[in-house]
Amino acid sequence: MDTETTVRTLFALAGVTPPEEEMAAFIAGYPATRESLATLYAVPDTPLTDGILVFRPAD
Amino acid sequence: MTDIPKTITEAAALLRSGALTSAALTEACFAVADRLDGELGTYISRYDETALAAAVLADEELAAGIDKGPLHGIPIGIKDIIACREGRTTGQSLVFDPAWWAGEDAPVVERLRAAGAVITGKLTTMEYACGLPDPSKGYPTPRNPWDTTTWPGGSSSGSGSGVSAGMFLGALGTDTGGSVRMPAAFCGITGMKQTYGLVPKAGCLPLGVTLDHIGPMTRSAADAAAMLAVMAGYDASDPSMPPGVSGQDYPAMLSGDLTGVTIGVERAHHLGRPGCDPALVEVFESAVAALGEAGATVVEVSIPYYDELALATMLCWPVEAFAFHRQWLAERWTDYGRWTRSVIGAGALLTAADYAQALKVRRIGKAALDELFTTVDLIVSPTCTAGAIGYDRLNWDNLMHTIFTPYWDAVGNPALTVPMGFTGAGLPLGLQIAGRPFEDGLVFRAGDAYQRLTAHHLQVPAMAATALA
Repeated sequence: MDTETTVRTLFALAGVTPPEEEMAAFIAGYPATRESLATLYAVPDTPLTDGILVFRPAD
Repeated sequence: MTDIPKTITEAAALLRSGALTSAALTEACFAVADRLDGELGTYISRYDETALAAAVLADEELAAGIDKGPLHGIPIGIKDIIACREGRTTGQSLVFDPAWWAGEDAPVVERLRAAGAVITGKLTTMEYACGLPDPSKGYPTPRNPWDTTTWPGGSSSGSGSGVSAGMFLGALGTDTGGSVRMPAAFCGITGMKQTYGLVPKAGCLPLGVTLDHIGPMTRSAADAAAMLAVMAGYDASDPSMPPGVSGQDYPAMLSGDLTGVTIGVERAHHLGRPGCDPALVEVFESAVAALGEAGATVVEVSIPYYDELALATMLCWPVEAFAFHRQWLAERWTDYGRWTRSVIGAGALLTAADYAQALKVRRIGKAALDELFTTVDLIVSPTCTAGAIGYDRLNWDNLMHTIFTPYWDAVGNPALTVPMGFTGAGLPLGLQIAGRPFEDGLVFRAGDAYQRLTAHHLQVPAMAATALA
């Protein structure tokens, strides 16, 4: 799926429709967002790690 | 006109000696607001009548020997995403529910009030605690008292500018990616993002529920310690709080002595970044030297997963905010400010897997940081790369390249900013001091020890100097 279709689909699934000029900015910025996310997926040992939601003194 | 003491600590002493009354202090603070608020855009709503009544009551109580502690009779402002019984909470947005917490205090406000604080009003924020100013929406545009062509920072903009200008002696801000510490640094005051889960967040409009903190903003670390001692402690209304968690007598932990404390200095991810002010290195190294003078052992450290955790913060909160705002964004997109809808709307473009991955990275990063904290007690760095951003170059990219704050929201550790000097243009710079979870007292102790050796926190902007003692 190309970037524009992806962004429009994600907004449609979310039930939100930005105006066209703002949609264009989201489409333009989307590849950089995906690229930055790659750094998170590159962190080792994440598959077996629980996400953190509550901070306790004993943590 | 009554001179306004610079700190809560000083005012508390004057109130008890009889040299000052809370009524006179509150009136003096409102007089400063009368003179400066048109230019600074600090207040959204003022509660003059109820504040003065509370001040008179505080004077009567103190005269009768009823002493509720260091906040008794002290004027305090509240960021306008936190509920106060006197008026509505707008979030500085056209899109808000007037019935939300109407007529009620958030638990944290209730605690301040029970400690005798005088609530002066509601303060400007970036819309829903995110984004940047959008003057087209009709709310005040906040300005920095050190240079009104610059932004005071955000999202706790009025909290920063008001303490700096002397409109009140303390304020509540909120911090999800740096919204207490960045405006505190830009405005030359002290701001604390305490350990996540230490202060109840009910009655506060959420931004990122796994990252939000309500924190104190004051001129000194001792004042922030006094506020947090009142604010902290378990409340069943907030499911993010560990059951039974309690605050401590933080002011009693301030000794001025850092002997036996090992401080890790973080230069690797902070100095030399693009946009660093030319004065930053010298000012920061001078601050580090002062911490050594206070008795600390100073060592070099490199904090783990710096870029990944800062990114995780800035990816998690838009997702969490989008979940809160989705219905309103669907129906009233253009009623939101242009920056707000841009950054929250971006939350729709991340998948559930992306969000879960960010949470996992936070967990891994926190574990690695915990390991580093077995070798040091505190970690210091600059709070931002530079002083306040001028309105002529204020945009989201510049902001993201200026702040060193989001890392500490991702992990939940306490992080304090204290003023550490000025840029060549006379804009304040902040020193960030972070500690282990629930060791907020040690963080305050370091900030206070630094402030006993320096006077940066007592500097006031020229436009406010005539009102402040």
